[in-house]
Amino acid sequence: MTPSVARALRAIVGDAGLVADAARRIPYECDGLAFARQEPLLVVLPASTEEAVACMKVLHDAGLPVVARGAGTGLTGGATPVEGGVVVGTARMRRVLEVNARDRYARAEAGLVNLDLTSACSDLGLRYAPDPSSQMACTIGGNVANNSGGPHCFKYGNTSRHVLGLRVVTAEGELLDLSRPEVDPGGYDLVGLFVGSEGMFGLATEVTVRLIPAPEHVETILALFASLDDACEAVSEIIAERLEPSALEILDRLTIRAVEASVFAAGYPPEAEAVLLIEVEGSEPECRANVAGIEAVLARHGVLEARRATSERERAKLWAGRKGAYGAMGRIAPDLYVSDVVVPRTKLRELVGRATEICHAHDLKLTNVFHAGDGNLHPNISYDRRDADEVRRVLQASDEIMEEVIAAGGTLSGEHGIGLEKRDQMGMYFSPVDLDTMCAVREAWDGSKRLNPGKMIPVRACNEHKPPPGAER
Amino acid sequence: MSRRLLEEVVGASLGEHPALPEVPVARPETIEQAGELLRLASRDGLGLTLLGHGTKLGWSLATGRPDFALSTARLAGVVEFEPGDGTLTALAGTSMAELDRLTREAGLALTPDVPRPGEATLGGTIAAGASGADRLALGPSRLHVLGTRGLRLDGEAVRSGGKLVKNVTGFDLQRLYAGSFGSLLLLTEASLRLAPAPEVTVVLRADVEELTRAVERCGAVLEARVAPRSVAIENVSRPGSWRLHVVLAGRAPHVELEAQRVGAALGELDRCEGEAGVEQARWLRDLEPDAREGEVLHVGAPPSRLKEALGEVLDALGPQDGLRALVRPGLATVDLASGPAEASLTPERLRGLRDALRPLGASATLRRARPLDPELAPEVTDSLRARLGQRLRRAYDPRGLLRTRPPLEPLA
Repeated sequence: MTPSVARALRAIVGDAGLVADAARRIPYECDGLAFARQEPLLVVLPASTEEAVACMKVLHDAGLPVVARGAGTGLTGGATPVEGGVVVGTARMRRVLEVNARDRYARAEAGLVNLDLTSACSDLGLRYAPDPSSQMACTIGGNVANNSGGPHCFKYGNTSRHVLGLRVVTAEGELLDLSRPEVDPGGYDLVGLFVGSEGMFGLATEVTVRLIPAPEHVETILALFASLDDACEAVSEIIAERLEPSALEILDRLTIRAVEASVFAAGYPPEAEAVLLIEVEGSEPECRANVAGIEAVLARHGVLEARRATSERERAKLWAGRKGAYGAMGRIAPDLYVSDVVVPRTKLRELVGRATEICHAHDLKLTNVFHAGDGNLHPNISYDRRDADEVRRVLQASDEIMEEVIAAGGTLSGEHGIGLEKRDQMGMYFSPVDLDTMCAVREAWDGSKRLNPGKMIPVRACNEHKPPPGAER
Repeated sequence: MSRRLLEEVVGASLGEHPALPEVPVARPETIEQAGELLRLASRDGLGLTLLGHGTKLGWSLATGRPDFALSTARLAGVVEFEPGDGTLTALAGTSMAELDRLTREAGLALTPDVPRPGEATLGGTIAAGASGADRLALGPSRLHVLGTRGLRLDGEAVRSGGKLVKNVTGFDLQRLYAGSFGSLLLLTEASLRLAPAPEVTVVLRADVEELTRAVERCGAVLEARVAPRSVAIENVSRPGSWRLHVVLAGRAPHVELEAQRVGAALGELDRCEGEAGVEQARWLRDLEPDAREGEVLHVGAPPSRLKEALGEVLDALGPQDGLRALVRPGLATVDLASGPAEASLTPERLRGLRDALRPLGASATLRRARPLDPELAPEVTDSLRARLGQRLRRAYDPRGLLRTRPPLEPLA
């Protein structure tokens, strides 16, 4: 079957759009969840929506599973291929199709890199708000699939709050055009439903997003604390006082040291136990009032020092340290397991402490970099995937952290999605009826269940999809 | 289902609703009772209509006459309110006014800030996809629903999303339920994201003779580097001429800066502030024409095309003497009952209007006191979007027992 499918796909996308030989398929074996790997049958890279429609028809006729892929920066195995399946990548679909400054929206192809979208509209004084840490590489289509977040989502919300329209190719290869930005969608809110569906409803090829005005004024504060607890408590009070920062990010001591030893060195003092990075945006008088309130809160929680960035260069450097933190962790161990859970913001300190205890009990190297304002924790565990026992302990610790988080009223994921990584933990949060309902909705979109099979919904029956090697727990 | 059987489940709480004449309306006091009613309906293949207080039933499309209706009006109460987390969870029948009061006392703002909140329930607001006067600043209501609990037609409880401000666990089914008009399941509980309460509210006003000129001035406000809580043009309070209102809300020094910018864009303005400003903003919120008093035309358009869209609406309506309307950026509601008799929209005129609006990226929906006849909101069955809508409905309601659905299937 493969040669005929490959021929048909090549006829659509040309040689440049088909990855068939084994060596060139290796980079597509996994995404950021490095221990779950599966060789794809083929990788096809359409260059337009029209090509994507034609490719999906071929794959439908062949009855092959399809896994959509953006830049492969996802951290949950959402883009891990399935056995005998084809990867459809959006890497050749990177055009900005329209920027409408008057009605404040932009249309872009799904493979456009997140940061390039903001660059494309910055001259007009506009920006696209969601800013995942991987925004220099991750794609808008991938952001849609995972309902991605980022530091400034504290103020502006995840991707789903910013997506106004989509063009989606269905499992059958039909084009569902929802691209017109509508004030109130007629019928069901299919766009809202699609965002975060992790490639199981269709392949998004074009995305219409809301643009917001670039801030008139920005203040960035670096607050140093003698303990992680103090930093967490300061965050809780800033939120309770409704001082409206746009970002509230915490980095712990090990992370600070890793960042400062790396090319992302941002001037974080290595002696601090925790750094709280705060950004305030708005008009100048608004920022002034909020910063004064924030500085008072910081003082009440024993801040060692609170520095304000005095130039755009300094501000950019502080953020480069935060966004480069994951890269810097390569200095600690070859691999990094980035967990992603959300806790009630009033329980931040308690849950950060529990995650630390759990990792210590399993003799694991834990670093914390997280979106404190949203209660979105990222316990990051550095490990070596060649060490099977360490991988086992990483997964065990992750399970225990999730159990603690759910028991405290938290949730499994704030911005990375479920994918393979947390699929089998969905039962901790949802009942069988909840999961059945999700399955029914998925089948309304994709009756054949060929799109990203085996992801998000736990395997509960013997005829459901077999997970790829390495994904079993 | 006989009236006797309904009474056995809900006791004396059986009643009627003006939007559903001669249809028994069951108002269960517990979620268990509601589940029992749904199971009975499923068992006997009975048609039913779901509602809160039923104030927006006339926004939906009727798909047949129900055997009975199920109201969540008595499933009321706050489940969880944690001001420090900025979230609130309540049962579907809780009044929006009660939630508004509770959140204001804690220094927070309930969104959506819907008109006449004392008459609206949380579940009904979500099911109708109703947004409020704060939509310009905070977005449509569907963005603020963090999670829901509901009952399927088999009586089973089903949950989506959660109670936290950030959560991507599972499909966002709450987005599907927002605006689904009781066509999928009975919403029993919802969690909302709250906004910080503004420190001050200032309302600026200017009288403008022509609607088109008022729309242009509204555009000038939005270009003036301000982010108003709401902007509205209305002739409801002053029939015969138009008044532009700009509601600014937030931190005091910021609002003052914005007021200066609006003044620079529009010239001299009336100003209302302090408690009077808050009251004025509420009065303006409640000006939205109420479809229960007669037909209302709801028009959505990209802000830059709103002037042209309104031109098409006025052309379609014919004589407009005394016609009242409330126009916000991207949205207009026209009170058809207020104009001369000729201003009513026949199905043919409504179709013509939709055809004229489509190239502008605009749409028009009719709202009435009772669920709409399908002729006024035809379903475009040959589009993929409409077919997908049908498949989703079947996933929840395979036998087609639910008798309302969203009013406008998308244009092909």
